[in-house]
Amino acid sequence: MKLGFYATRRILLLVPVLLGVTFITFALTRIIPGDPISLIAGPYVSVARKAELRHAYFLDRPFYVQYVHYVAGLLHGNLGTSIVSGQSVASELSRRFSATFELTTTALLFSVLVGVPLGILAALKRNSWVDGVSRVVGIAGISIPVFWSGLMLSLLLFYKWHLASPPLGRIDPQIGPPQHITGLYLVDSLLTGNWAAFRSAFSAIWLPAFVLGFSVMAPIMRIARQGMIEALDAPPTVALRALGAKPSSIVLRHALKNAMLPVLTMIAIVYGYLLGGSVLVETIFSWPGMGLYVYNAIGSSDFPAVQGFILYATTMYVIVFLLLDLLYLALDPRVKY
Amino acid sequence: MVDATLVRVREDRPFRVAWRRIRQNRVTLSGFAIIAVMVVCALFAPWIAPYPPLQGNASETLQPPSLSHLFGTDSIGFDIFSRTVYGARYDLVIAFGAVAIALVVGCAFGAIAGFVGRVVDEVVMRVMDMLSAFPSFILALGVVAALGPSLPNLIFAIAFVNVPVYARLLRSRMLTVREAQYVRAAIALGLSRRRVLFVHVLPNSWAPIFVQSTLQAGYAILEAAGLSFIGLGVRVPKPEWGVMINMGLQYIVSGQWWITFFPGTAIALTVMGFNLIGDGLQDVLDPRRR
Amino acid sequence: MTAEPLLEVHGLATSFATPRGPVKVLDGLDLEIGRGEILGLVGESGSGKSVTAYSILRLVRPPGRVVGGQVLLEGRDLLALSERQMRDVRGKEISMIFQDPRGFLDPVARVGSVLEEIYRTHEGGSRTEAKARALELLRAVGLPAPERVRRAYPHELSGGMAQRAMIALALACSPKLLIADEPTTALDVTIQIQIVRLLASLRERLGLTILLITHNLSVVAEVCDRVAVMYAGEIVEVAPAHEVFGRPLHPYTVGLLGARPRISVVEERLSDIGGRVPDLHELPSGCRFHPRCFLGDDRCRAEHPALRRLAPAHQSRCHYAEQLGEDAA
Repeated sequence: MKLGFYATRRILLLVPVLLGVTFITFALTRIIPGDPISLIAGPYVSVARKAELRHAYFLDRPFYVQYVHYVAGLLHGNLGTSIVSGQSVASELSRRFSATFELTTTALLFSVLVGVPLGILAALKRNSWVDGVSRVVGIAGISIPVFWSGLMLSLLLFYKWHLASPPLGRIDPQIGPPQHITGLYLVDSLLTGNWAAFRSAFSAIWLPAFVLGFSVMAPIMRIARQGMIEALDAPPTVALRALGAKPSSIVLRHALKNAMLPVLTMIAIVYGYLLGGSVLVETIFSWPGMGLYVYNAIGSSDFPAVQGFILYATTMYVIVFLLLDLLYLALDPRVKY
Repeated sequence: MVDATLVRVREDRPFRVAWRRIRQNRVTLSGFAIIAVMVVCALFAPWIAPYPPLQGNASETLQPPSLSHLFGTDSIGFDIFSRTVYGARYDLVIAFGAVAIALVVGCAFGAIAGFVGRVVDEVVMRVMDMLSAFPSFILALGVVAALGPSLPNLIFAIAFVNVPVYARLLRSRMLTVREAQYVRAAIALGLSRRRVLFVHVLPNSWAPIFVQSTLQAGYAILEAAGLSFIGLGVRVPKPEWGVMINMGLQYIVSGQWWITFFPGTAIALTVMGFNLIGDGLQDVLDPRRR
Repeated sequence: MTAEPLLEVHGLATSFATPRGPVKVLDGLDLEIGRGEILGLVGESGSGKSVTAYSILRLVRPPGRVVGGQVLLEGRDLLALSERQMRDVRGKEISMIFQDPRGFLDPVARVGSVLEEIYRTHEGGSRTEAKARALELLRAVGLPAPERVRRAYPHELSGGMAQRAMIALALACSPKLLIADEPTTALDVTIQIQIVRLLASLRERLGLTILLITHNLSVVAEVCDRVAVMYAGEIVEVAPAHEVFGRPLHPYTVGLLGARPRISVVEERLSDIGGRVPDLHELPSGCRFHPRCFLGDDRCRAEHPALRRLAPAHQSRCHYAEQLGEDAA
C-alpha cells in the first residue's frame, strides 16, 4: 500500500535527524567546562581511578571516536549510568516512561477536547463576546507559567478547599495500581474493570493534566478558530449553502473536517511544549515520571542522567511527531504519496 | 543596472499607517502598557523599591502583605515587593537579550541559506531541523546543565534554542520575495541578489520578524523562569522571578502564599503583555484573521 | 413566450457597506425568465451579474444585504420567505453552479458523498437510493466513468469533469431553475463548448430553465434564447439572442460586440470601449454609460434613461435606441 511506502520513507528520513539529535546531545558533554570525568564519576574519586575511567570512557581518544562509541552504546540501549544510583539511565527512564506519557497525553486530550470546541465556537460567533473571552482564556493559558499555576491551584484546591487529592503520585498507595497491561493506570483500570483504581488514578491525574493542558490550549484554540473561519469563508461553503445543505452539516461535516488538518499539525508542535512542561509539572505534583527524575538528577549534578533524559524525551517527541504526520497524510486526500 | 528604488514595492503598509492602526487596537495597547510598566520597574528599580533586594531582616521573616511590606516577606526577611520590582531586570534582560541574539544569528543563517542556495541551504536547514527536533525547553535545559547555571549561560541557551525559528522565517521570506513577480522582473533586468536581500526582503520582513519576536520574548521569560525554578538558571538568592517561586515552594503548605504568588503574577503579566502585543499586531498586519 | 414566467425579478436592490459608505450594487433591477428558457446575463466584471445571482438565492452575506424588491418564483416571493423556507428552495427548486468547480467542491469529501448528502437532505431516501441517484446523475451529465467519479475527490478530477460533477450535484433534486455563474470561464476553450452544449441538452431533456451568467459572448451565441446585458448594476438591454447580435439597440452592447476578436474578419486593431467601468460610489449623472458612449450628449448627462420596450421582445435603456435600430437596418 502506498501509505506503507511513504511511511517507510519517512521513517528512514528520521535517521539523519536522530543522528543529528544524538550528535548535539553528545556535544553537550563536550561543552562542559572542567573535567568531564568528575561529572561522570562524581567528585569523590581518586586520581588513579579517574585515569582508569578516562581510558574506559575513551576520553583520551579523539572526538569522533568518542561519538562513534556513544552511538554504538545507544544502539544497544545504553544511555549511560547514573552517578547517583549506579543504575542504567535507560532502565530508570523506561520505568518512568508510562507515568510521563500518561500525563502528557491526558493533558493533550484535555487541551484538544476543550480547546477545539472553544475555537469552533469562537469562529462561529466571530467578534462576539464569546470570541473575546476565548481569546483572553487562551492568552492567559500561554502566559501563566505552568509551574506557578500548578502551585497556586494545588494550594487552593487541595490545601484550602480540599477538592483535590494530595500531590503524592499517580494513585493512592492503599488502592494500588491496576494490573499492568499498558502501564497507563487510567487505561489499565478501565480494561480490567477496576473502578477503585480508576477513580483514584483519575483524582491524582486530573489537576496536573489540567494545568499542563491549559498551558498549551491557546495555540490549539487559535488554530481551530482560524481553520474554521477559513473553511467557513471558503468557496465550497458557498456552494453547499447554494445547494441547501443543512447548516449543521456545513459546519460539522464539511468545515470541521477541513479545519482539523491544521489542528493536527499544531498538536504535533504542541507536544514538544507538553514534554518540556512535564518536567515542571511533575516536580510540583511529585508525579513519578521522567520529568521528576531529571529534576532530581539536576539537583544532584547527575549529568549522565540529564543527558539520557534529553535523548529519551527527544526521541519520544520525534516519534510522536512522525505518527501525527502519518495520520495527517492518511486524512488529507490532497497529499500525494 | 536597474535602480532598485524604481522597482521597490512595499508589500506591507507604510509604517505610519501601521502605527495608527496599532494605536487604535486596544489589545496591542494594553500589551504595550504592561511592558512599559515592567521596563520602568527594571530601569528605576532602586528608586521604586523600598528595600534593597538582598537585604534580609531576620526579625521580619514570613510576614504577610502589609503596609510596610506590600507583598510580604520571605523566610530570610527579604521584601517581596522590592525583589519583584528588581526581578524585572533579570527577566527583561533575558527576554530582550536572548531574542536579540537569536534574531541576529537566526536571520543571518536564514539569509545565507536563502541567498546562497543549493548545498549551503540544505546543510543549514538540516541543522535547523535537528535543533528543532528537540523540545525547546529540554534543549535549553541540556545546554545550561552542561555549561553551568548562570545568567549569561541562561541567555545563551535560550537564544541557541530560538535560532531555528528566525532562520526559517527569514529563509522563507527570502524565497517568497525572490519568487515575487516584480522581483523576478528586476532580477531579469540585472538586479543583484544582494540588493534583493537588502532592499526588498529585509524591509518587507520586519513585520513578521517583529511579531515573532514579541512571542519569542514571552517564551524566553517562561523558559528562563522555568529553568531558574529547577535550579538551572539564575541562582538563589538573586531576585529572579522563577528563583523566587522556588524559594517559596516549601512555604505554600504552611500557608505563606505570598512568597510565590507575586513573582508568578509578575511573570504572567509580563508574558501576557508580550503576547497581547504580538496577538494585536497579527490582527493589524493580517486582517483576514478577524 | 406565452406561458407565465418561471422567475420574475422586480426592483431588486442590493446594498454593500463599504469604508466609504453604503453602495447600491443593484438598484431596482428587473428580470424575467420563462419556463424552459436559457437567459444569458452578460456584462463586464463588476457589472453586478454575480450579485444578481446571489441575491436571487439570498446568498448575499454581510457586508452585503438585499434591501428591496421582489423575486417571484412561480408567483412566490423568495425575499419574503424565512431562512428555513429558503433552504428548502435552494438546491431543490433553484440550484447554482459556479466558476472554478474544483475550488467550489469540498476538498476532503468525495464527490458522491456530497451528491448523496444533498439528495437526502431534500428528498429523504436511503443511502442505496441516494447512491443510485448519484450514479444516474453522473451518467446523465456525460461522465464516462460515473463510479470512479463518485468516489473521487475534487482535486482528482479535471476541470471539465469537475464542472460536470458540479452540474450533477446541482440537478440532484430536479430543480426548476439552474443559475450558472460563469461556468466556463475557468475551463479550456474546447471544454467550454462541451459544457455549454451539455447545458443545452439538459434543457432539452429535462425542461430545465437556465440563467447563464457570463462575459463570454460566444457562449451566449451558442446556447442562449434571450440575452440581458448588464452595465454598472443595471440591465441596459434585453432581447432575443439573434437580435442582440444582429440589431443591438444599446451603445454598450454595440461596443461589446465590436470588441470581440473574430477570426473571419481581419481587423487592424481590436476596437474597445474607451474608459472604465464607473466606481459605484461616484456614478455618472444621468445615463451611467454616457462618459464612454459614442452617442452621449447633454440629454444623456442630465436624464437617467429608463428601460423601454422598443419591440415586443426587445428592451433598451438608451434615449437613442431607435436611432441605433435605424442605423443597423
